[in-house]
This record gives sequence, C-alpha cells and structure tokens, in this order.
Amino acid sequence: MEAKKVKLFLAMGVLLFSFSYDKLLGWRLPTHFPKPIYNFSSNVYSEAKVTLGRALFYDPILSLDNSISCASCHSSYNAFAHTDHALSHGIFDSVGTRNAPALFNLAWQKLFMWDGAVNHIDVQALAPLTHASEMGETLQNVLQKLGRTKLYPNLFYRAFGDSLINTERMLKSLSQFQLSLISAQSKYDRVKLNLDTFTSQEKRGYQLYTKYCQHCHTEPLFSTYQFKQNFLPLDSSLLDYGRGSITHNKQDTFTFKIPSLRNLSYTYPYMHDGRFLNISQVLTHYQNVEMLDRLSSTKPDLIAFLLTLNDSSFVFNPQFKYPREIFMWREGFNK
Amino acid sequence: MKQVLSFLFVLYWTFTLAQTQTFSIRFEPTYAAKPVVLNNLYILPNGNDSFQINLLKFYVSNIALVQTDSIVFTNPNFYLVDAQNRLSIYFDIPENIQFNALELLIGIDSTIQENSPLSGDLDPINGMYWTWQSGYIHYKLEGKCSACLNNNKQFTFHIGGYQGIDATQYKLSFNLPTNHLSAQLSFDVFAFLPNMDVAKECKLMLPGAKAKLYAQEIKKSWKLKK
Ligand code: HEC
Ligand code: HEC
Repeated sequence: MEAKKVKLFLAMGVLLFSFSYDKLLGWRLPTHFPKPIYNFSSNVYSEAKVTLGRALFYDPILSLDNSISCASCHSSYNAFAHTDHALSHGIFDSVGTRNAPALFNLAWQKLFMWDGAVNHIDVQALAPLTHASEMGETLQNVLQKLGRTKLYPNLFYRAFGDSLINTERMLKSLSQFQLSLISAQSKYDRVKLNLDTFTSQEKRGYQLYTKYCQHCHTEPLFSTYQFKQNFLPLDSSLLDYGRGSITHNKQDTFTFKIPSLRNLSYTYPYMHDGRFLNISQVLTHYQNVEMLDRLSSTKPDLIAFLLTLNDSSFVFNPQFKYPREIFMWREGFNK
Repeated sequence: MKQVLSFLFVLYWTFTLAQTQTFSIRFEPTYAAKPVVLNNLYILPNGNDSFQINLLKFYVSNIALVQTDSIVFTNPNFYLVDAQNRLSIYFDIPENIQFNALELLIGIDSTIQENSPLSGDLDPINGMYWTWQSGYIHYKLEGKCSACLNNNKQFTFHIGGYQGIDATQYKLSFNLPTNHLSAQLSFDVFAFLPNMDVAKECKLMLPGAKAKLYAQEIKKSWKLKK
C-alpha cells in the first residue's frame, strides 16, 4: 500500500516533470533531431537564465551609444536574420562586411560565423559587442552599465542566486536564450512525424533536394554546418576568402559555413554577402554552376519543397519576441 | 582499538597526504641579457632608436613536475603573468614527491581555447581574448619606439593562434636539482627582433605565420637561471 502510493507519487512527479520541462525549460530535444553539440553540463539550462539572456539580446544597453541591440541585426520575424540590408548595419550607421545569418538550432553547431572564426557560442557575443562597426563597446563598460541598472542585478540574482554580474554569467545567459531558439515545427517536420503529407509537387521537390542538395544541406537540420564552396563568383570589392582566412589552409579558401535551408522565406537576402534577393535567384546560381539541372519543372518543384521548411510557429513564437513585460518592469523601477 | 586505528589513520593522513610545500616560479623578462623594467628606455640594436615597454603579459599553463620522464604532479591552473605586478607564481605540491624537472606551456592549449571557463585569469575582461576570431592572445607586448612609423610611435605585438598550422603555444622543460622548490626562468622579450623590420612592423594582432615565427624565436630564448 505504502509502496504503491510512493510509486504513484513518483509517476505523477515524472509526468509533471516532463510536462514542465516541455513548457518551462523549452529546451526539448526534438525527437527527430540528433544529439546537440552544446555541452549543457557546463551551462545548466534554466528559465531564469533564458529570461536574462533574452533581455540582454534585446537591450541596446550593450552598444556604445545605446542604439543597437543584438536584435537590431537579428530580428525574430526574420528567423533572427536581417532583411533590410545585404550587409549588416551597426552603430553610427557603419556597414559591416557580411550578411547577418539567421539564428536557430545553434546547439547543433560547433563553429560560428560564416567563416567559423568563433569557436564556441558562449564567446560569440564578444565579437559584435566589441566590433567597432557593430556595437563598439568594451566588456568592462558593458558589465558596469548593467550593474548600474536596477533591472539587471535583479535578473542576475534570479538566474544565479546572487546579483554578481560578470563576463561568464552574461555570456552564458545570452547563449541560453539563443540555444532556446529551436526551429523544428515546419510542415517538413510534421511530415517526418507522420502528422502531415507532402503534395505531389512537394514530393518531386524533395526528390530534387535529395539528389542535388542533401549532401551539404543535410536533414533534419538542413546543414552539416561544415565549410564548403558553392562556387559563387568572387565579389572583388569585398574579397572575402571565407574560412581560408581563419585556417590559412589553401583548401579552405572561399569556403563558407553551409547555412540551413529552414525558414528561407523569412531570411532573405541569401549567402554570406546577401547577394541574392530570392530563392529563384539562388536556384539560377546553382543551375549556372551545374549543381542543379535546368528542366523547366525543377525550380517550381524544388521551391515548393523548400517552402515546407518554413516554421511560422518558430518565427512568431511570443517567447522569442521583444520582452516587453521585462522592460516595462524596468520602467516601473526607474520612476 | 577502533579509536586507536582511526587516530593512527588521521596521523598518517596529516603527515603524508595533507603535507604540502610551496613551489615557486619567477619569470624574468630580459632585453639584451638584462632584466626589463617597464617604462625604462632601451636602445635598439641599430644604436639610433630607443624604445620602452609599457605592457607585457603572457599565459602559463599545464605546469607539471617530472621525475625522469614520468609526470609526478600536474597543476590544472592558468596563470596570467604580468610584468606590472605578477612575475612570480606560487602553488602547493605534495611533500612526498620526487622530481627533477619542470614542464610548462606558454599559452593556452586548444581544448581550453574551445571550452574556456571564461573566468579568473581566463576572463576575457583581462584583455587577452580576441573577439573577432576566438582565441586567447598568448603573449602581449606593447610600448613605444622611436622607429615606429605610426602616429603615436607605438608598437603592439599580440602573439596568439592556437590551432593547426597557426598554433603558437609551446612547451618548455627544464631540468631542476632534485626536489628543488623554485625555478627562475628568463627569456628575451624581443627575441624576434632580428627577424623583422621594426619601423614597418610595429603591429601584429592576428594569428598566422609571423606570429608563429615570433613565438618560436621567444621559445629559443628561455633559460633556467642557476
Ligand atoms: C551590426 C549587426 C549585428 C549586431 C548588432 C549583432 N550581430 Fe550577430 N551577426 C552579425 C553578422 C554580420 C554575423 C555574421 C558575421 C560573420 O560571419 O563574420 C553575425 C553572426 C552571429 C552569430 C553566428 C551565427 C552563425 O550561424 O554562425 C550569432 C550566434 C550572433 N551573431 C549573435 C549575436 C548576438 C548575441 C548579438 C548581440 C550581443 C549580435 N549577434 C549582434 C550581425 C550582427
Ligand atoms: C557543396 C555543398 C552545397 C551543395 C551541394 C548545395 N549547397 Fe547551398 N550552400 C552551400 C554553401 C557553402 C552556402 C553558403 C555560401 C556562401 O554564402 O558563400 C550555401 C547557401 C545556400 C543558400 C543560402 C541560404 C542563406 O540563408 O543564405 C541556399 C538557399 C542554398 N544554399 C540552397 C541550396 C539548394 C537548393 C541546393 C541544391 C540545389 C544547394 N544549396 C546545394 C553549399 C551547398
């Protein structure tokens, strides 16, 4: 009798736990995805850290003139890419040299940036923070500014048990928010989980994808996240050598990180320099370099399939948007 | 009986395992075989130009004590040595070990580079982290030199790069008198000077062949002072 009760209690506990894990932590491994690369044991996932990370991500306090936040270049409505400009714009209206990539499924990536210059997501934020033409700040100054607010000591306290603000905590919280950006609910995903079916055109597109694209843009993440060349003509004004300028290995010259094909409808323009405005232009490029056939049905069929990779529930997820409720709370403080 | 045994155990424990002693390493940066003092004026080999060093910092890690080829003690810590205020480092070692050599790495190895705790001496706030391309600067030397052609006559040598052909971290080993508890290590801060045109190359801030060459020249200059 006693034992039975305990078992029942345990079973309920497990149920409750899996439910809350689902809902609160958000970091649920989609069942059809591989194991993540990110080591969560060195940065234990928690809702409070995600909240802190989300506030930091949307707060222009991270930039020198308090004008630019991470979200200025990585907008939730564009799957955290940037669509107004081919090349990113930073403080004092300066123009960078590359297109801001979409941010999702980052836990499955080992190297970051188009050329893999960044070796861990926890240190990624240091690059835009201190880049003269992005946010133009110093780490010291950012931490001091955060410490002077009423909001952040509180958010750090909630996340870490005391209000100490330091590099490690700031960076790992930013990572936590970004790691929570999982896109796994497109039509394609529903088909994989037997919850939906492809139209016959989407099926033909899937076959084309499997033949021509799959080995670089591999399912289910739609990238191997390796560095490869897709034979874009060199832009002589940018002279971007890609991964080659990081490794100094000849075979890496002009290779770039393979981007995911998920959410393409939201992440235009395409490629590291944003040179293509729509998917049709991308496919024309692949046809020009003979990586795709030129049958008249190819483009419409393949595009039909690519559109099944759009994940609107990710792009419009209220948990990923500008955290108005957190910043309203701050305004309350300042009064 | 039980009490006596546990008493003996505690005794054994305090006298063997718990007994530690302190090992110290003193770093002595030199130029032209003389110790460097920050902000002092020195003359370049060309006899005309002068320079002063305002900042010198470098990382030391993977410290180990060795008894004829087998490691008897490893120190997991990372030390940011700073000519301003930290030229000596101290750490505890067990009393009951025998050693006759010291090993250390100048720089940070690649596993830590890719999984840094981001705190303590490895906190990027120390100004030893490259942000646009991940990795620690292993060796940072800054100052002024009348030969430099830039406006402020400043030189900036940030030597780093940790992976593949660009790796600049290097291992040193020195024989010590048996169980000797200290080591004084000197090196030439500008050992790479003969390999460069000072006026043109007052700045190096990225990994690559040049950083690698400079690191190797400094490596050759390390000596254990007797
Ligand atoms: C001025 C625009 C701009 C701002 C502000 C900005 N980013 Fe980015 N972000 C970019 C660009 C451009 C790249 C690609 C850089 C490259 O490949 O060299 C990028 C790359 C990234 C990546 C790597 C993605 C990948 O797939 O490799 C992450 C993660 C990221 N940014 C997060 C952030 C965070 C966090 C912040 C705020 C601390 C931020 N960004 C601020 C423009 C920006
Ligand atoms: C050899 C590997 C490889 C193959 C095969 C390949 N791609 Fe790519 N793809 C890449 C790389 C690398 C990039 C990024 C190139 C850059 O920005 O310089 C890319 C970029 C893209 C982009 C831009 C995405 C963005 O967010 O900017 C799209 C769309 C795309 N590929 C679609 C396809 C399609 C469709 C196919 C099949 C017809 C295909 N690719 C085949 C390697 C490949």
